[in-house]
Amino acid sequence: MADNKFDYYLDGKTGKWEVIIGLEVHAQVTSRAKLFSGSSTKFGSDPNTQVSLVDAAMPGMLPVINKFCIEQAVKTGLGLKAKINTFSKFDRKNYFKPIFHKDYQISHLNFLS
Amino acid sequence: MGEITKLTLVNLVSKIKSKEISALDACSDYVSRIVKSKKLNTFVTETLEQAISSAKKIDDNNLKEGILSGAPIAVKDLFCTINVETTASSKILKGFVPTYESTVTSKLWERGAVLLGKLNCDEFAMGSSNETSAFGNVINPYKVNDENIVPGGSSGGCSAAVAADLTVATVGTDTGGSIRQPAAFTGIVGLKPTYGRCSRWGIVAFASSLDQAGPMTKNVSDCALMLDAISGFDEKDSTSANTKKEEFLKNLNRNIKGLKIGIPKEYIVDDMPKEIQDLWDKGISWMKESGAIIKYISLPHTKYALPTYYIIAPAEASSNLARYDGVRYGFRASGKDLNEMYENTRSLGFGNEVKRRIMIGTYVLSSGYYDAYYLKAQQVRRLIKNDFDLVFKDVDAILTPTAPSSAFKIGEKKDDPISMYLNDVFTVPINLAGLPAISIPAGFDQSGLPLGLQIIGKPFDEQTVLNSAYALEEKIGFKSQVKDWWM
Amino acid sequence: MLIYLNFSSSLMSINKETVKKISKLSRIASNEEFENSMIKDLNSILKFVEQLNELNTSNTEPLSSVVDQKLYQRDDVEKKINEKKDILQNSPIKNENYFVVPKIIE
Repeated sequence: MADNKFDYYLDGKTGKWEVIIGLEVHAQVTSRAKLFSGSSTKFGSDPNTQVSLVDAAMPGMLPVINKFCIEQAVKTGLGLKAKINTFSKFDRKNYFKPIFHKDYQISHLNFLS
Repeated sequence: MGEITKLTLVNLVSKIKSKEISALDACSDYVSRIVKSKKLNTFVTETLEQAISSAKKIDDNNLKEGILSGAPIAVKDLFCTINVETTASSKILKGFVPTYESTVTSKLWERGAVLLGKLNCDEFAMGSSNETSAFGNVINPYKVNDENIVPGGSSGGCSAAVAADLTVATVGTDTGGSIRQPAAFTGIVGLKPTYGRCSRWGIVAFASSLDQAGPMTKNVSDCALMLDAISGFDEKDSTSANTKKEEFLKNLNRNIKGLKIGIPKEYIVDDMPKEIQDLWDKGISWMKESGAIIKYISLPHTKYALPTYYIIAPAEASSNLARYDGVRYGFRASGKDLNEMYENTRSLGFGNEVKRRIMIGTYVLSSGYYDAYYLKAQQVRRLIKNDFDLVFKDVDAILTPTAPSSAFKIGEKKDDPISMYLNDVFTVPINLAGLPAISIPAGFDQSGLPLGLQIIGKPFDEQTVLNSAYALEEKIGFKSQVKDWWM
Repeated sequence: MLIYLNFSSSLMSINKETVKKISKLSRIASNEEFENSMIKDLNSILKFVEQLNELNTSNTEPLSSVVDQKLYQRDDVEKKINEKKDILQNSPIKNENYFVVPKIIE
């Protein structure tokens, strides 16, 4: 950000505070099937009708990634003029939350440069 | 009765195909033996009636083209089986009836095998003696002075069932030695294939980067046939290998002339009984007699394999076992809110060893300790794999003992996790490096308990492993000493 | 290097508080007996794995998987492998379409 310096400061008790705002944007990929399973992504269906054995974290189930979602992620990255990694690796973020059936999220911890 | 259950898998299938024996007769003989063998506690679930009717169907419709046609087979209770309870020998999965079939077991049935039931194992495959099972320990068909002996673990129900002729062959899983060590403890053959050779889809996961399904059989030919049946790429498992289909049984031969066999000096460990060293020396001579060239090699990071394993495996397990929370399947305890229900369910549903490993795994992955433990272990795992990569430039296979001792008494190591873990010292490095390795019965110790030798191969070179084992098997001439004392 | 020094000094220091914290993170209900046995076992296991610090791994790339093939990717097609009943049938407590759980929010 060196060539692109913002200088918006607020006066605080201890001096000037620079304001930097980051956005985490969640956008749904327009895929037919889900990211890690073949379940439909159709909107408005009955409850639990688009949940596969993989989504429900039944014992022994394994995720398989949707190619289209990777393509869309790369396109989005290119559109934002971001750097595209040519090597990626999945990690898990473990925490118990009612919305996670596996009680982990598949994520990236490394190679974020 | 009695004659059929002594047959090897290869012989039984060929007799069923030639109609010398009917599938029903084969199945009935196994069923009557199983009924009389409850004392060994090998089965968690029996599907004997179903087995009989499947066998009848094979005879009636003359379905004899499958390579396992009519073979009565029980499998480790870690494989999900459609409409048949699957527990991983844990209370937390009690009552769980999958609506799906694991890839490996569906391959068995597609090829004509008949399900006899589900075999006992250590809870979630965590153990080396089958004592952590929620359904009680399995008893080794070998006995010493009237004392009960462990069958090894975690595939202890599998090893005991093959040794006691309660299944013609079986499939187990191996995360740190769980096929090979129990095979050695019961005088049978057990193969852990290369990571990715067999699909993990539908197998209750323990440590995903190490788990691999594999055959446990009466001899090496049966092992090759079973590997033919269960291996292959599966698009439902992204880690399964997209390699060409091989024919292990067809290509099985004893010609290992000129094959270079490595002997790693680091596998000579303190306190190893002399009879195991002697057996290893015999193995070396047998290899030489078969025309193999012996090379002494070094795998310098061997001693770090166990500590590495006991970080990586619990870390992966703590994540894989998070899903057992009492909501979607299995056991549920009550609680005033969701968290308390989770905590009570997991506290009452898991046994001590599983809880221990979840706790260790959670600790080494927790913020502040991740780099020091988990990342460190992954770095050492790289060094261990590099050791093997380097020696495999000079040798074609490696020969070692399978375990540093013979089977021990029930209860002997139960209170000391570390002494139990040490039993896997020769098998764990192979899982960390993802290599194929076989254990074959090679002799007995002074008290009459079987001992095994391990042959380790290059990735996806199971054929060399099987061929070396086949050559050695002929030299050894192992004969089962199981007396049917429990019947 | 600092982190590894930190690692050494943290060994043998799993105390009751740490066990309580880990059992909370693991969602395993804890009591006095459980805590005491875990303090003993976890410390003995951590002491055992301490040997890894004999190795200098500062230039070693971590190995998380032995698979060296390109990840298999599926095509973006809907593939229904099960019905709703297959998801719900094993649940210990359910009503027709839902899993039933104790209250989540106060």
